[in-house]
Amino acid sequence: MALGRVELEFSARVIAASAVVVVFGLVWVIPIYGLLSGSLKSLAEVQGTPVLSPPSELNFETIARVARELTGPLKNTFITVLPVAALATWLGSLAAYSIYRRMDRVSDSIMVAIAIATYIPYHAILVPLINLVKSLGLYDTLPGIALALLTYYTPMAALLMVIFMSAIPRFYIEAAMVDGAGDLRVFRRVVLPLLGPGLTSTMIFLFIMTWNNFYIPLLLSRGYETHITLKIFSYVGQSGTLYNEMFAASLLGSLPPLIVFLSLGRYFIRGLQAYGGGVKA
Amino acid sequence: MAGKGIRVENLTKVFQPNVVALDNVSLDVEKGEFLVVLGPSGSGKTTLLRIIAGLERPTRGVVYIDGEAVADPSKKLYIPPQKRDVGMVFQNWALYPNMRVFDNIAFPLEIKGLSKSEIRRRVKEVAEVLGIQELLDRYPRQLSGGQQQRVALARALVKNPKVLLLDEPFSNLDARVRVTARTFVKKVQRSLGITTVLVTHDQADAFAVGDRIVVLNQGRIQQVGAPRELYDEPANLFTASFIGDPPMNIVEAHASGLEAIVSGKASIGEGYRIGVRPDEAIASKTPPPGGLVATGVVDLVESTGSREYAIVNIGRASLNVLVDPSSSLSPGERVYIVFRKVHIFNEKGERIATIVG
Repeated sequence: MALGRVELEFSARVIAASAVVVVFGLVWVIPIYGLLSGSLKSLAEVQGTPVLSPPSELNFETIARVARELTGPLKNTFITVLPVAALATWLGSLAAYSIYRRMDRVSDSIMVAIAIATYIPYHAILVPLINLVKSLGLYDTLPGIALALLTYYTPMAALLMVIFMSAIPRFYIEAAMVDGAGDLRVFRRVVLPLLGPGLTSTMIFLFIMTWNNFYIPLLLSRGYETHITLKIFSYVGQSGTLYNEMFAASLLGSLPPLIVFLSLGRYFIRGLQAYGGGVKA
Repeated sequence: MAGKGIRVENLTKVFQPNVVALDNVSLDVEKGEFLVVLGPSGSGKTTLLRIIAGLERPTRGVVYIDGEAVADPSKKLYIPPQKRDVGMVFQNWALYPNMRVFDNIAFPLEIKGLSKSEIRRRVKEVAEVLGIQELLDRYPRQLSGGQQQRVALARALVKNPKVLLLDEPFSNLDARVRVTARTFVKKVQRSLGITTVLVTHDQADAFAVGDRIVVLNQGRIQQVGAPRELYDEPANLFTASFIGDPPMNIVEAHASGLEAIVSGKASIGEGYRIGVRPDEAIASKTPPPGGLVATGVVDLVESTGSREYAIVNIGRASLNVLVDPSSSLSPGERVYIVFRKVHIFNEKGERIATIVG
């Protein structure tokens, strides 16, 4: 009997937990539903009906039209953001390795500097950033935006990688040193493979952060074609907003990070677990 | 001046701010010798090994490997582990989890830039010596503790290092595997004739494999000697009580009831202590013909399976002694105790005399 009650309590808790999950899930799904429903409506309907009311007919015309308009910006964003995420992760893990190897006052202060750099708001560096990119002749170019994003997100990558690095037991590195491996080889052959989940997590995180970044592309571009977030913004007109097109653009623009997260999410979680539980040897 | 094995001169290691891990340690390891550093946790033994490997830098003192100085802070000399040509087995073996056994063993050779065929030949060779030929395609996680240890040993030995360093290599093995692993390591070491330093807190490890044992406590060498020597002639109270199982009885010399048996054979001063190994004091009901004899009352009898030990009260002292196999004792009985060997330690804890009965 006692056992039965325990099971009952257990299932009650499971139900409560599931309910919480469902509520949170709904909260997160509602905007996506709103986007979808809004993009299927005509301009008149989207302005005349509540956001959450379903569309009167399934009209994919808007989505198709916006998709054509978005091809350029989507491509531009991809070729900006992918190398930035990869390169920042790579640089960040190199920085994290040297910090982990040193563990002295110098590396501690570098670590603090990196942490501070992560928290500098864009607005504080706005003018020098634009001037720098201009002086390099990269204003209103994809490399210019990439350079700014890279500068801004590499400290964050380093910070994340330090956390993942600290989950790697030091004896692997020491064993490799005794085996005769120099730092670069230790990093490449021993540390990097053990960092796998951490690298994936950091790269996913940076991909999403840079994809969704609005301010840096805005500062460094003349038009709206360089970055997806600018393009979405462009549907807000001075004389009025094409809500159905903006919904469609938002929907299409948020798909890539969503797909990345859904398909690679388990690596992301594995990375977080590695941080919590140490690397399984 | 430095021998061909390992030489450590006046080595001191201070961890900031002021933890003294090693305090003026000097040591010679002969070429081909199997030296064991034995000490409790926190004695500095692992630090000593790590300094020899180059994973730590000494605060003061010089380290020589094969006659060459590899660390000397006074001359700002520090050769990193990569260039010391040492093989090391870590406590948890530290096999690279992302590499197969073959690649683990091949790793040191790959760094040396040997050809693929040469690497293959030497990995096969060492795998054969260590009996792990069948494991080369496995990942470390697919191996038992004993197998992992052999792989770690293979990785340490494959580059034919000048010295082999073993950090508590048996402590992660279960009791049964441990015994065979000790024999195995000893055999491999002897057949290769490689200068070896093993660090352990377990005296059974030390006795099983060591040609000589260094007893370390609180960063200082207590005694260096052959296993039998440490057991028979402990230099001080620490070695005396640390080595031997069951541990040596140590009692105040004065007013303990044992003073009488040593009187006339050694002078007992203030603060002196007497040490008796349980295996060197035998309790029986029949009066012995002579020797160092005392009488006492049995307090408790314990069996270890093959032997029985009794706690016997002699005067104010309480001693753990071996029970004569022909007698069976029970608590409260009066017994005779014959002492084969009695050690006397002065007020500083140094052994000043041993009386043999």
